[in-house]
Amino acid sequence: MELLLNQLINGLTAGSEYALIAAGLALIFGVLEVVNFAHGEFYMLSSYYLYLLMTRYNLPYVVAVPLVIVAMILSGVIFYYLVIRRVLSRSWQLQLIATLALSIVMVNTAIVLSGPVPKYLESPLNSQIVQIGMASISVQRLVVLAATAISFATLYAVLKYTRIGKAMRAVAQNREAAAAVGISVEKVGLATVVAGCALAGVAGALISPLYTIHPGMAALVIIKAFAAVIVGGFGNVTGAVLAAFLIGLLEALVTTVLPSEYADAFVFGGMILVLLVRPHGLFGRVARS
Amino acid sequence: MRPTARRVGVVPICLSALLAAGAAFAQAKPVKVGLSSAFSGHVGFIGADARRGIELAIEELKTANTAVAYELSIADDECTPAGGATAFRRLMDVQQVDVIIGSGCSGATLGGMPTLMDGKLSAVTYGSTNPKITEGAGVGGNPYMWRMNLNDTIIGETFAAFIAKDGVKSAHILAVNNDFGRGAAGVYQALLPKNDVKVNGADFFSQGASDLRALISKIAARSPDAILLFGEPPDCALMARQKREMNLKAKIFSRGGCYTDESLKLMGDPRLGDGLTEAAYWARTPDQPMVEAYRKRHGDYPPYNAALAYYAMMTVDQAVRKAGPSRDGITKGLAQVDWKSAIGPIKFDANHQARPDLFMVRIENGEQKVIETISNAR
Amino acid sequence: MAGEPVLQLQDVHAGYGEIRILKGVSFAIEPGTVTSVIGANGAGKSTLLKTIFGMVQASDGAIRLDGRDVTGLKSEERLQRGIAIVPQGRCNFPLMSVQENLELGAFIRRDGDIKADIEAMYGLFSSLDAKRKVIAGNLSGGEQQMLEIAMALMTRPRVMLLDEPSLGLSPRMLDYVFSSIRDLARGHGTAILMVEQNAVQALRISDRGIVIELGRVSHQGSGVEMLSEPDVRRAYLGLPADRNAP
Ligand SMILES: Nc1ncnc2c1ncn2[C@@H]1O[C@H](COP(=O)(O)OP(=O)(O)OP(=O)(O)O)[C@@H](O)[C@H]1O
Ligand SMILES: [Mg+2]
Repeated sequence: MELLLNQLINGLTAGSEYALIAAGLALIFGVLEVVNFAHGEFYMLSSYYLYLLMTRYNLPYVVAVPLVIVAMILSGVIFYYLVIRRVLSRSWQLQLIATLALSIVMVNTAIVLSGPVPKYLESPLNSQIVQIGMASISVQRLVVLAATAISFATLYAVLKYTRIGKAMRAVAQNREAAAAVGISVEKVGLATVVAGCALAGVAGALISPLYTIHPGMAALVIIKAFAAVIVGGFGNVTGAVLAAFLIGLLEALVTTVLPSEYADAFVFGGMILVLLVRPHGLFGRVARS
Repeated sequence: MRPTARRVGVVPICLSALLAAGAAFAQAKPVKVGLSSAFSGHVGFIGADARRGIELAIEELKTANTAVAYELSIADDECTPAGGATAFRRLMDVQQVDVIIGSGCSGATLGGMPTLMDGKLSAVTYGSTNPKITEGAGVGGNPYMWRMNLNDTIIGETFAAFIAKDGVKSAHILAVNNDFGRGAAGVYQALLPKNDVKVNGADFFSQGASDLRALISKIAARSPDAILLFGEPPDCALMARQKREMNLKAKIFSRGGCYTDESLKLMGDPRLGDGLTEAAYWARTPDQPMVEAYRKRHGDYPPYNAALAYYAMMTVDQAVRKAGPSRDGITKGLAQVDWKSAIGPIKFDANHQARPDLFMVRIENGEQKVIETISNAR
Repeated sequence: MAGEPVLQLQDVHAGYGEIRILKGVSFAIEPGTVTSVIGANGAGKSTLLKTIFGMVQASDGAIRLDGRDVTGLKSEERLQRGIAIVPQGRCNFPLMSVQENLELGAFIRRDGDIKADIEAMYGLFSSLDAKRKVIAGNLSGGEQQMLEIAMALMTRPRVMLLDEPSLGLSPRMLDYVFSSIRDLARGHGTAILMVEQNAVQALRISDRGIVIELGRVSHQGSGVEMLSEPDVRRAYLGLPADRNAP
C-alpha cells in the first residue's frame, strides 16, 4: 500500500515532465499541423540557458528561472520566423525535414559549444526534502508539480477566454475559416510556437536541476511526449497532458509489479493498442473538417 | 629497439645504419592506431577522454624512445553494437589502421569484433567488461580481439567476495539496460549467491534515463542491505541524489564509474556519494606518473577512460616492440606482451585476457579513496 | 442598375507560384446586387474569389473597393473594409458552438453591437436559433451553410463572396438559401458575388452573370441575358442552345 502510494507520486512527477513537453508539441501540431521534431531540443536549450545564467553570470536559481522563460520566448520568436513560418503551408515532408534538421543542428551545436560531458546544476530546493505520508520528496519536485499545474491552468484559461486563445483554437479547427473571419494565421502561429517554447522552458528550468544537463537529454523524454501526443489524440492538448500523466503512472505501476525493463514495452504496447481501438487517440476529436 | 641499438653501439657503422633505418622507417610509415569509442550521444564524453589518454601516451612514446611514430585516427561507435561494427570497419578499411584501441563500450566491442577477422586486424579494448568478449576471443574463436582490462567475471568474483565480507546479506541489482549493465547483472546474479548474498531482484533502466524514483521505491520496499548499481557517472549521480531525496538506506556497491571525479561533480554535493564502494579497474593510485602528466596537460585528473586508453596505447607499443608495427606484427606481438605496468602486470592469457590490478574505491567525505588494491585477481 | 460600382476588378492576374490561373479579369459589381460566376471545374472561380479577398495575391491588375485600391492589402484589412468570404467547402469551427462561431465571425470587430447582430442572425436564420449551443460539426449540411453565411455577415460586409453556397443542399434548402441571398442583397444593400454550379437557379435570382473561361471573362450580362445566351446555355447550363426548343 505504501509502495503504491509512493509509486503514485513517482508516476505523477514523471508524468508532469512528459506533460510539459507533450503540451507544447500537441499545441504546435494542433494549431499549425506542424510536427515539431525539434521540440525536445528546446527543452535541452532552456536547460543550457539556465546553466549559462547560473554558472557564467552567477545568478541565483530563483532569478535565473524567469530569465530562462524570457530567453525561451525570444527563442520561440526566432524559431518561428526562421523555420516554422517558412514551412507553414508547405508539405508535411518538408516540415519534417526542416524541424528534424533543426533538432540535429541544435544537438550538435550543443556538443560543439559545451562538449558532450553532462553538467549538473544545483537548485537550493533540491536538498530540501519533505515527507508526504510515507513518500519522501524534494521541494524542487513539488515545484515541478505545482508549476505544471499552473502552466496548464494558464494555458487552459488563455485558450478558453482570451482573444488570441480563441484565435488559436479557431486556426486549429479550420485554418481557412479562420482566415475568412480575419484571424491572422501568422500571428496565431507566432503565439503558438512561443507558447510551446515557453512550456519547454518551464520544463527545462524546473526539471533539469533534478537530473543532468547534456546535449542528448531530450532523447528519452521526447519519445514519451510523442507517445502522449499520439495517445491523447494528435493535436489535442488536454488529451496529450492527460496521456502524459497516464504514461507516467503506467510506468511507475509496471515498474512495481514487473522487471522495470518492461515499462517501455508496456507504454508503447499500450499506445499501439489504443490506436487499434481508437484510431484518433484516447481523447481524439471525431468531428474534424 | 633502443637496447638492441646500444648493444651494437661498439660497431659504429652498424649503429648508424640501424638508426638511419629506424628514422627513415619512422618518417616513412607511422603506425596507424585507430580509436573506436563514443564521441556523440549520451556518453559522448568517453571518446574524448580516451583520445586524450592515447595522445598523451603517443607524446610520451615520441620523446622517450622508439623508432616508430604513432598516428591516431578516431571513429565514433556511439557505444552501440551497430556503431561498433561500423566504426571498426571504417578504421580497418578506410583509415587503414594497423591496430584498433577500443571500444570503450562492451556493446560496441561485441558489435565490432567479427569485423576484425576480415582485415586480420587486432583490437585491444581498455574498457569493455562484458565477459562475452573474453569467451569469444583467442581460443574462444576470434584471434584478433584482446582485452587489457579486467572483465566482469574476474571483477565479479573478487567483488562478490568483498561485498559478502562487508556484511551484506541481501542485494538488489539496478543496471543500465545495455550490454554492460545486462552482462554485469548476469554475473552478480550468479556470483553473489555463491558468497551467501541473496539477490532480491534485478531491474534495468534505459541509458540516459533521468528518473529512477519508481525503481528506487520498488527496491526500497524490499529493503535489501545493498544495491548493486551498474551505470555511467550520470546515472550514479542521479542515483545518489534520488537516494537522498527518498531517504534510502541501503549501501551502494557499483561498477561503471560511480567513484569518478565526473560522477562526484555531477552529484552536486559529492558527499551524497559517501559510503559508495566501487570495484574499479582503474583508480588514481599514487604510483602512476601518467596521472600528473595528464594533469599538467589538461588541468584535471585523468578520467578512467583516459587512463585506461593510455595504458592500452602503451600495451600496443609493447606489442610493436616485440614483433613489429604491421597488423600481423602487432597481433603476434600482443601474444608475447609481458609488461609490468603501473596498474599491474599486462600479459594476455589463452582467451586474450590480461589481469592488471583491481581497486576497491570508496567515497569518504566526498572524495575517492582506494581502500584495497587486489593483485592477481582470480 | 445605375450607380457607382462597389467592387471593381481591372485586368487582374493571379495564380499559385508558377501556375497562372487568372489572366486578366475585369468586371464591376454594384451595391445591392447579386452576381453569379459560372465556369467549368478548375476554371479559376474559387481562385477569383480568393484573389478578391486577398488569400491569393494578385500579380497584376487592380482590385478596388468603393473606388479605393485594396490590391496590396492583407485579408484582415480587406475584411475591415467590407469584403467578406464564405470559401468553398466547410468553413466553420466544427468543435465550437453556433454561438461561438458567430462570435468568431465578428473577430475583427471591437464595437458593442456584436450581441445585437448575433441576435439579428438568429432572426434571419431561425433554424440556427434553436441550436445556439450545438457544436457546428453536428449541424446538418444546410444549417452549416447558413451558419457560414451568417458568420460572414457578422462583419457587416459591403461585398460578400460566396463560393458554391448550394453545395450538398437539398432542393428545398437550395431554394431557401437562394432566396435568403437575394433578400440580403435587396434588404442590406450588400453586393453578393457568388460562384455556383447550379447555374440556372443561380442566374434566375442574379442581377448579373459572369462566365470565366481560360482565366478570362468570356461572357457577361444580366441574369436573364445569360439564361438566353446560346453559348452559355449549351456549355454551362446544360440546356439546349435555343430556349424555345422543346
Ligand atoms: N493552392 C493551390 N495550388 C496550386 N494550384 C491550385 C491551388 N488551388 C487551386 N489550384 C489550381 O488552380 C486551378 C483553378 O482552381 P479553382 O479552385 O479556382 O477552380 P474552380 O473554378 O473553383 O473549380 P471548381 O468548380 O472545381 O471549384 C485548378 O487547376 C486547380 O488545380
Ligand atoms: Mg471552386
